[in-house]
Amino acid sequence: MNSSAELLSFKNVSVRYTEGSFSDRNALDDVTFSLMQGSGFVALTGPNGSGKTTALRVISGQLRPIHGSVLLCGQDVTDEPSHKRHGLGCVFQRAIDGMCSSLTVEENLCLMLVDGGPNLLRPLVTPFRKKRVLDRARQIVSGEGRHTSLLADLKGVLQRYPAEFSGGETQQLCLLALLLQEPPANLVLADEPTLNLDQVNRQICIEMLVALSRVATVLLATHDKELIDLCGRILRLEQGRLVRDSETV
Amino acid sequence: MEFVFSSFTFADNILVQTLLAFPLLLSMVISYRCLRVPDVTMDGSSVLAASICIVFMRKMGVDMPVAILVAVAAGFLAGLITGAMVVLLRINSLLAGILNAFILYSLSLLLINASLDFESGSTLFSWLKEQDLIFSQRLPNGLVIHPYVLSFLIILAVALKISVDWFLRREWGVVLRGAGSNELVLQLRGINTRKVRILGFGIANALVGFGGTLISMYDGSVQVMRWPGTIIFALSVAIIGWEAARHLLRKFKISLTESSALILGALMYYFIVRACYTFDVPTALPRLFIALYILLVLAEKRDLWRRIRELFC
Repeated sequence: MNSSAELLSFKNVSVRYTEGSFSDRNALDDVTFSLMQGSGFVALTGPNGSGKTTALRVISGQLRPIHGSVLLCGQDVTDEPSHKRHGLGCVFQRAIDGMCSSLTVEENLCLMLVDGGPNLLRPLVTPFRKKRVLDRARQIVSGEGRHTSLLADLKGVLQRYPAEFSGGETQQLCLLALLLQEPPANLVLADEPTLNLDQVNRQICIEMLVALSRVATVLLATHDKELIDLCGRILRLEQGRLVRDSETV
Repeated sequence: MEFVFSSFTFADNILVQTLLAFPLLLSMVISYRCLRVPDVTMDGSSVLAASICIVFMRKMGVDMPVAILVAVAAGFLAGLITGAMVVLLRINSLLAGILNAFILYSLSLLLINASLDFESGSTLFSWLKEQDLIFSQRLPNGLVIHPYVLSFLIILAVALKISVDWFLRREWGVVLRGAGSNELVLQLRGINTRKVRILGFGIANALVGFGGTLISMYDGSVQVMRWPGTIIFALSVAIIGWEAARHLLRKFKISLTESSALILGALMYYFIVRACYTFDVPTALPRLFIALYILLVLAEKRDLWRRIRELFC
């Protein structure tokens, strides 16, 4: 990975919600920062309503700024829709938001292996793709020694639907999906990924996030102290403004 | 003996009606299950497709297969228009369907002015019905059954079911199934879900167009007034089928695909319709009976008294 290249550039970005409680002020106000490739974990911190989720939504293309620009790998994507923003992955606070609830676990995971747009005639679930999914899950389980994890018995749950699992289990599936993604994501946006998880699931998810950070930069919007401690850099937002940008030891 | 004969006719009629409605019902898998939209467009696209087919055949002298293809294309186009209203104009999907159905309904009236008959001997069913008549004439006691029509409809239904199930397992089909539940996940995979959704509306209404044309050909005429309310029929049959598959068949450990469950729903629906007909129920009552019958079959009866008690405590 070329670690010197610029991955994300947020230039003087301002966002204002036209509806709801933020209408009297900007949800993001003239925010500027950039991330280099291979940055590992970067934390986006701040109190509730400070603009963390808004910033992630601007990067993923769900929200358009009223001012400023967003560059991904040097390309201006400010006005590009989400499907034109290549190399992004997302993990959500509500784990189910990271999966298509109408598709089985198997289909959700195999979808991550579709490279170059969906084909009209090719089946989605093939023995080759299924093997890759199971191999990757096995690799994670054996690597981290987590034999109690859902991933240890992934084969048995492939035909089930995401809504049948707990939040922690669904988050594991979302993170596995990101680890499978073809071509791999180079920027993962994680919005409070460990919130509401029990200790065991939280630990498994953190380990999977660490595995992700080895191949991609992970921008974490979080209050989780343990996750913040993993970050090499902390961006702090308050009332929509970037008030601190600090490297940590 | 007479009872056996009338049972044959009864079953034959239910099967023919069910299989005729199948293409139309199959569109619910795409619109209601995949896109999660009860697409009211079908009220208009069904009749528009049938109207276009009859106009091409009667007034322009086009061959039947070509006319059917044009009708299916018209249904597809009608669906694309609803899709564009939803995705591009951001009109509520229910309202977009209603508005487009209004447009298509008016176009149908302009095209055929209330009703138009197919020329005798010109439709898909002309020869089949003739053969059925010859076959039935050999049977005792005026028994009328439709082995030729039924065979054709069974082959058609199986072919359609296999095609739709096959398509929904392809990469593009799975994306279509996912587009109704989580667009962002698919967009982050580089998939243009707006395009997928618009095309989804198109595919659903192409099936509706084919279904509308098929039913009209079987009837021998296109009657514009017959079609408003198609969505209510299709929705009720589809939900009956899916719920019945979930509630009843689960007990016997039988699993049905969504498309097969539509057949079950239609059989249940037409069973009561035909029963009302057979027993000369006054014309005002069949719908009432249908509603009560479906309530009786689908209602969760276990712990009903406990739920009623809890309501008042």
